[in-house]
Amino acid sequence: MTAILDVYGLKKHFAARQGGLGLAPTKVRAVDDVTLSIAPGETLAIVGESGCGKSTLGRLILCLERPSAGEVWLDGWRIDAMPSPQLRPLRAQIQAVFQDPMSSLNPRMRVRDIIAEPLINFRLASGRQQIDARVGELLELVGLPREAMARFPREFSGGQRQRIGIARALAPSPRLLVCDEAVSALDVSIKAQIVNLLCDLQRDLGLALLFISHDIAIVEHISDRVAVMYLGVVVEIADRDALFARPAHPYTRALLASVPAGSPSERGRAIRLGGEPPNPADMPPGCRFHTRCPHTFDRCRTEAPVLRERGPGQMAACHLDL
Amino acid sequence: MTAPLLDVQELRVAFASAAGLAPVVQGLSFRLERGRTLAIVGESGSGKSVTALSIVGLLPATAKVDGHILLDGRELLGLAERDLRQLRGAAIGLVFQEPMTSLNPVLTIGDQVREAVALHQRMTGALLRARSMELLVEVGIAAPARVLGQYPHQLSGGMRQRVMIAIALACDPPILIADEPTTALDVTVQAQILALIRQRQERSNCGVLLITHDLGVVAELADRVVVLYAGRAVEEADVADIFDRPAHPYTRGLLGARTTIGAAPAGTRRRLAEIPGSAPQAGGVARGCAFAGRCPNVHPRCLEVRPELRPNGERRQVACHLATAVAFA
Repeated sequence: MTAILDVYGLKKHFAARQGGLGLAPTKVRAVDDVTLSIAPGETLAIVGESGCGKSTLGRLILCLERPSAGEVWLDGWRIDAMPSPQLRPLRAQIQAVFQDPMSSLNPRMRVRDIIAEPLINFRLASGRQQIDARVGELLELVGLPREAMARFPREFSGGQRQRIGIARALAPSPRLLVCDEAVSALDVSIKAQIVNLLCDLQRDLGLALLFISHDIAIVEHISDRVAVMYLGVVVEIADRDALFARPAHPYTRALLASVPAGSPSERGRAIRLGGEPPNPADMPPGCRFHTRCPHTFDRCRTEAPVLRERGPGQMAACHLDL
Repeated sequence: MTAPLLDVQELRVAFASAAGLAPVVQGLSFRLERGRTLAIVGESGSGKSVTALSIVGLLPATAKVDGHILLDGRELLGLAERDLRQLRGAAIGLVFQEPMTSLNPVLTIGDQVREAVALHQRMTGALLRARSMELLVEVGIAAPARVLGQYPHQLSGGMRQRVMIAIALACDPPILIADEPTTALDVTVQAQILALIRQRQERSNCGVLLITHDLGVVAELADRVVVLYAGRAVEEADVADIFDRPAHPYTRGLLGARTTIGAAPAGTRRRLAEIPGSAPQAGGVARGCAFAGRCPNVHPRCLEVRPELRPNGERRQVACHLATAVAFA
């Protein structure tokens, strides 16, 4: 099957400090050579801790940032360097849902106008009646009543606002939805509603999802495949079942082991990883994980491991066969 | 019988607003014993953080607080600010979610740790410095001398939270209040901080009041649990009973809605149990059970009469008209 999204050797480097005054310029390699693809209708989750580059990767894929190197292909079109007039119609194919709906919904716009905006921008509907009908349809699709149209974002709870954000993202009938921490700010009982909604929408609309999250339990729940990022690189990418049954990279194992107990009887079972991720502006040489890895040996300190096959549908970047 | 370490009785907190008094905590009672951890679990707006702040007298002046808060039998409500200051730090240590907002950005870590020590203990010079170093070592900071000279922004989130715990425990208080202590931290760092709290508690035998929305954190730390909904306790029980035999439909809903690793067998996808709707606004439910609108077992009586918190089994209290029937269903 041809992929809906292909990413090759994607890099994004930010200047953390300009040179001068005798100081060497420093660079943050937020995303450093990431290659991955998403099939139509598939959910690929990107999981990692703060500063691992997962959100920057999402922004590069959404063409909200220009990559320093590498390519982004959407449905056979190379979009990373495309001038905006050509990119415009393709943008309908790839839409985003962010963490905090309150900061991504204009508080002065009525829900109808928020959802109508992409319809008008992409010339997918015109005329009051046609627009109202489509907005009503989208609201029902995300489990809100049509009457919500006439109201303002502040009149809704956090979960309902996230539904509005999803309705707006679905308005141009995208084929890929990028969800960046889309359920992270929600209460447990609301989170479950939105996760179920995303799963239903994906099944019913055949959407592909790029689900960016720090929450590995949600990731296990929602994904078909998982990419684990650490300090700008993918350290493991695998089918969900393989990754959770036989995590091949020591960092993946540490992430899984750090999740709090499911019940008090499993208390204290978490295997704790020492230290914290190093400063991304001051990356360790060799394997980026070697400063925290329980299995570090000489080679890890000098040579960066590359992704290699570790099982069917499973790649990990580690010198060892753990 | 000696008085419990912390005894909160019929706590009521309301905030003055344009529309009159908005009740946020409505008659909450609980006890915390030495060496034990009591978790207050709830979602946003349940009143859990307001409860924590009311104990240490840190609520804004617009808050109206009633009831009793007894520390070793001594009433804390109505204490003068001077006495409260004496209490914070010496009797009650505090750890909040975001250490960056509780640490002073323009003072070094050393200044702030030394201040916490010197405020309640007569100590100066080399002795004070040695004690500060010792405190940082106790919270697992490997290079205490360097960290003492650094500013909060130079530390990672996990290190900042370690410093907060060091400050909170500087005077060996009998009570530690931890309000969402790991919510802002990455999962690998969260595991470290939870272990640190557990280890510090074992050493000092302090009572920990844990305020959290995260049942995983509850499973890791708590002995006893109060589940809060719309400002009232709906269930209180030992932690194992909460997880193994939840009696209130809201507790059951929370447990069903959460995602845990390994819950679905390979190749399958479990649908999360939803709690429909969303929590009512503070004081939004005038009569009946506040959870009735979202409850799968709702009964006509639930809409009329608010269920009181009543004993259910030996060490459990539940506020549900159908608690017994449902528990055995």
